[in-house]
Amino acid sequence: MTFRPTDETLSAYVDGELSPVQVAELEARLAGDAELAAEIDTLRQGSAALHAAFNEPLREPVPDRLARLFTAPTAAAKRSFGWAGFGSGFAVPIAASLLMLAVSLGGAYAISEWQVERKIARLEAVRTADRQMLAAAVSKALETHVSGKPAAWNNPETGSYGTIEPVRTFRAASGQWCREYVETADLVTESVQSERRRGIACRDPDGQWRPRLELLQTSF
Amino acid sequence: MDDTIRREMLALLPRLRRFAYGLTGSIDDGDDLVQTTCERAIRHIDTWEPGTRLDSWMYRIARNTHLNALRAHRVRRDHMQSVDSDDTGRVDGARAMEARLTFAAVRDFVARLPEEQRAVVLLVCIEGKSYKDVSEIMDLPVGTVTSRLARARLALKGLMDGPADTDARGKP
Repeated sequence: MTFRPTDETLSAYVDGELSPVQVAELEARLAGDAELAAEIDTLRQGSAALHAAFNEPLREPVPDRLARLFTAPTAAAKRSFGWAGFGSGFAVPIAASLLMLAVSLGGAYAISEWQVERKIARLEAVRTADRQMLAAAVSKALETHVSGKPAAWNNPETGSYGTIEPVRTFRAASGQWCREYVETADLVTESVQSERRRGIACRDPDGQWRPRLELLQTSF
Repeated sequence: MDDTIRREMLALLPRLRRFAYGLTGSIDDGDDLVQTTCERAIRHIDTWEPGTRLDSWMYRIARNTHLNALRAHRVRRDHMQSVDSDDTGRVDGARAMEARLTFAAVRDFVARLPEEQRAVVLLVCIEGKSYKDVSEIMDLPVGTVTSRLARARLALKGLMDGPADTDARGKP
């Protein structure tokens, strides 16, 4: 009879911290032990949930008061003519006005900051691209797919993919055609975020499907 | 401090903010912590060894700054935890309700973790640090990192499996 792997071993496995030999041993065992495999799955979901729960700072821009810590001295230093002799009471307003000067004059300064932000901006762009693709896929599925037949989409550049399944079609009091749908997606950024939504969209006279209600059912 | 380091630090800010959010339990308190951390990092940049990881060094400053603040104020943060720290109306309607149930439960879980486990969980599960990196950031043996993580995970698993906590619903 073999002993159950310790919690430490399972946790380290999920984090990719086991040696190749340990991984092989554990995976051989996982193949025939559904209960253990389910446990690993729960641990993974836990990590994904933690990730998603604290992700907000990555989605919004860095507040000015923090970004300024790194930009203001650069501009001031570039145009500094030895502040040491000035009292700090002078230095601050002068530094501030020189910063404004540097910002308004200095294309080079603006460019270097732009480069810094590029990586962050790229992550944002990836998310935006996925969202746009998803929105387009929802429109297309609602326009062309019968209820009960899921439509798939994927973004080869990010690896994100998902399905949209119209489930019900009805006519709203306004006379518009509306459809209820279920949408699932695995959005890949730094990690994979899986989500499942249920929504209702109605078709405007211009042929566009506009979301009326969207319910996030799960998100990990 | 040269421009390359300044730029690297600026690029680290989103992740540093996320880490500080996890440590303090609120975005605003986290930003205060990030500000102090950056000011210290800028002031003491000569103590950073070029060639070592800048992000690890800054996580370490953030973690120590937070610990010092906790000690100084003798804050028992598990009693101070604001119930609705995430409830800022950023998203609306039913979607927010659903999202809040699960995310709030997870954040609450992190807030209730023993202080010694919290930073380990945040660094490994969220910041994606290796056990070795974490052992260096926190001056701990790798074995201690491993066992703290396993304990925290066991508790999280309990939260996910068990119907004991009504906040854990939100999953079909």
